Amino acid sequence: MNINLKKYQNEIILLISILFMLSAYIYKTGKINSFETGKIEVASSLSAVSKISSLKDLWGDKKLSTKVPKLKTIVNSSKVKSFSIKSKKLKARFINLTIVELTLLLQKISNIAVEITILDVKKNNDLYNMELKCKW
Amino acid sequence: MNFKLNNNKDLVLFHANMQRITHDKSINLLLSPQFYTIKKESLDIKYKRQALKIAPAIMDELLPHNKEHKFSVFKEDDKWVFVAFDEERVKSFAIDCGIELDLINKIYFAQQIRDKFSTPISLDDKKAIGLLNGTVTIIPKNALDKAQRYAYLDNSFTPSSGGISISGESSSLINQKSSIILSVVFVLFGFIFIFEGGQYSKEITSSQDKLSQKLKDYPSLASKYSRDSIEKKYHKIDLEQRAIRDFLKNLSSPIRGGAILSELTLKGSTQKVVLETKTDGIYQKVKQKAKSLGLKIKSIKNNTYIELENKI
Repeated sequence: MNINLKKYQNEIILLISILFMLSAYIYKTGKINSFETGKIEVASSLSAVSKISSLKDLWGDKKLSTKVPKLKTIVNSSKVKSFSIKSKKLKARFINLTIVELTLLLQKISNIAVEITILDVKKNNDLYNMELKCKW
Repeated sequence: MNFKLNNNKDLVLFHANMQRITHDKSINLLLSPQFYTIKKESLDIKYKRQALKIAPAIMDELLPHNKEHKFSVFKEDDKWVFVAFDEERVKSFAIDCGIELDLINKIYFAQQIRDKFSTPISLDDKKAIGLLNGTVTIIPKNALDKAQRYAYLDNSFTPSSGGISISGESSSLINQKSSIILSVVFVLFGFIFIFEGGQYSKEITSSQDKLSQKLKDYPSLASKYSRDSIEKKYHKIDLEQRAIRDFLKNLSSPIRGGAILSELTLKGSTQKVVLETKTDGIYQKVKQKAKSLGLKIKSIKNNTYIELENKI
């Protein structure tokens, strides 16, 4: 062993340095690969989190609980047949609405980010009856 | 460690009259003054490296100019001892003596262990090597006392430091200089690769930190499974509710155009409206608008009513 080491010391030095360089190259390549993979994962996670958070902020707005009861005051109370809110769910029935009142109500409902589950409008003579179910 | 290692190798006294030897293990050579030239100088130099730098200039006048010499320096009392030797001559003579160059571990100079030569060592019938005025010299035996006793060289004579390596270039595929240059280049590249790899590693950590920071605000989104499920839920809501609002928004145009709302049903993914169209002109306008919006159209009661439907 001693004989060979001495005889080929130049080659051994060279070989060790090449091995070192190759190992470093493999290390770098590995890091690039994990960087590329990680970059895609992190970017997609970040985009998903941002998207979800903005959707959550929109459709899960905590101020909705104060905005929804105001729907009751848009039209005359005599036209509000029923209006009940239970655990973030609204059930309301409006009657004898003029087209102007109906339009105003629909606009207000559209402008608040509640999840409309049922909206049913029926014309009765020249007036309208409306049933609304929504949650948030 | 070095001392022990060198002591483990046989020490061979290398002199002009030595006999041919055979060996299969690594050896150290102790050069006799026949193979080197020395000069002692008192210089105000602290480090060996500095002394070695000026060795060629110090010994210039003592050496033949047609040959290349290798230099070594060591301290002897308060003086620097400069040694020059012709490596090619040593190699050539070593080969003649049966010594394999690849098996030469270190070369030492007899002057390095001058005190050991206070008792001379016999080289052959006529010559001995001994200490004369502080310098290891080849002495003719007839100049010595006939009763002179001679010492024997053994591995304990091996100096503890200051040996010189000679390269076994003869059998190498690549010479030492090239191998060192190439190795330095490869190692340099290696470090560059490691540095670059480290930079990528830092980038990964930094973007992961960014994500962790974001997830701190939304701990429920930490797992991909829950993220997917929440995203699916909100995506459905968003799609349906935006479609409902668009549908309501699009109703205003036909109503302004003279159509009368008769019935409106928004339920889940279905939006349906029935409009009363009193004239054919109104009917056609509503129909055209509905077509452009991609709504399903149904005529009721001979075009006096029109039903528009949208499904997500």
